[in-house]
Amino acid sequence: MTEAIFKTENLKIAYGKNQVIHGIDWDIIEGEVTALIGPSGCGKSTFLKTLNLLVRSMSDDVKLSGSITFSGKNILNDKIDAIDLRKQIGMVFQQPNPFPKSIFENVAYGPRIHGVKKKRELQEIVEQTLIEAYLWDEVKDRLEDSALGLSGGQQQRLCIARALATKPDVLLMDEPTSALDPISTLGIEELIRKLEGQYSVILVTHQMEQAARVSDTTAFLYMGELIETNKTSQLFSNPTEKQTEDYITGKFG
Amino acid sequence: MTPRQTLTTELERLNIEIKTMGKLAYDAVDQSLQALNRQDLDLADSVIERDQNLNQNEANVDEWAVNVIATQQPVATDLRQVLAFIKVAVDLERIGDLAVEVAKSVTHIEGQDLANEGEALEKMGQDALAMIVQALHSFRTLDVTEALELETMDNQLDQQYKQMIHTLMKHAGADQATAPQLLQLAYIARSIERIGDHCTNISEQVLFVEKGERYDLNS
Repeated sequence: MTEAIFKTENLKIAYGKNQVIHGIDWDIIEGEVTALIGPSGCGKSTFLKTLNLLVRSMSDDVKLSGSITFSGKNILNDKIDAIDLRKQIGMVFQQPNPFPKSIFENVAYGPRIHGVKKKRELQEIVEQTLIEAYLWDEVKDRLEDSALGLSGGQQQRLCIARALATKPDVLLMDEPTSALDPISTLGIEELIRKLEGQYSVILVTHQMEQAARVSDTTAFLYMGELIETNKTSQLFSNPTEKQTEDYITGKFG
Repeated sequence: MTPRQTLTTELERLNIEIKTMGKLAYDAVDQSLQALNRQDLDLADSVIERDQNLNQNEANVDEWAVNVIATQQPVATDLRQVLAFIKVAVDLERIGDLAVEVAKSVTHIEGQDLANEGEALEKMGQDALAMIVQALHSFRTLDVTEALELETMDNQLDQQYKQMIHTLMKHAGADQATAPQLLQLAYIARSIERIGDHCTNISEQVLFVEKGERYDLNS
């Protein structure tokens, strides 16, 4: 039986009077890689940033209604502490954005602010997480070097490691390879495949081929509506909805 | 600009190649049957010689389909269409091979009298030609209704084939000296029956492209 990591019910999101998401009911399956596709402005990025309430920090006049159930709680409820929530829901962005600190400090940062003090314990977390992000072999001899000296692909894997260091349940990825070259992109995609099962990964991507390559489930969002969610293999070979077919075959968008 | 112009152009090019193959396969069957009726050995030889054209077309379809998948990454209906082109090309190439089989049997019979079976074989041949026409038309227009009708047409052809074998066996029992000729006639009937099966395969691709589901019209 598959369980939902997020369950949204009649989720609506508006910036002021501009309604961006028009009531989405969706169970996002735990332990899967879920890709969100759709044309620019369809609301996929906003939807993603709502799952960790980042949207509230980024905009003053955002209005959220409906519910998002995560770990048995409706996170749209005011009593939720966004900082705690983001310990469980990591996020990786379009541009690799390591802190201007050492490689070690980038990964140790999260665990440290969440209370891990002992150097020994931090070292262990850093090593384990860098191994998990397939970066360890490349950086193990220069952990004290600045993270800014790494290549784009390495920086993005470092950001993934930084997100994984607090042992989240979920990793949100907002177009994580759009600033990377093709080889680094394949490296990140490979990493996403390896995270499947241990984490629930929710990925927003402009590249349909990327969704097809890395995800288990794909959702097509159009003008704030969830048009179709389906097994990725099914969605790209024989989608249920005509609008999905038209979008993925390039008839619009 | 039309969206995905390159993909559209490539799909159209494959469509035209399939159309060409359809014409060649039809002509090969038609001429092998004419060769049979008229006992025209030259015509039979020319059917055998020209089969390599179809083989070349099939290779083209394979090559272009691989290229379009590699460079254009078609999905959904577009992807199913490309897969269908590959499969239909195989069926048309096989229909060409079966026309060659008929033509070879004609050369083996070498102008002997076809006894009373000529007419029944002619009927089978005409029915098979009608199936080729309808299968290709349904594939070109993606007409599901037309495609489904092929099942009945194929059942009728199968019946004629069974009847033919039954009759030939009776003749063989009555006069053993005719056995070699009867064997060739049985081969021909078998080839025509197989052509019908390949036509149902082509119609199944119409259903695959349109509905994304697998059908068996040849059960």
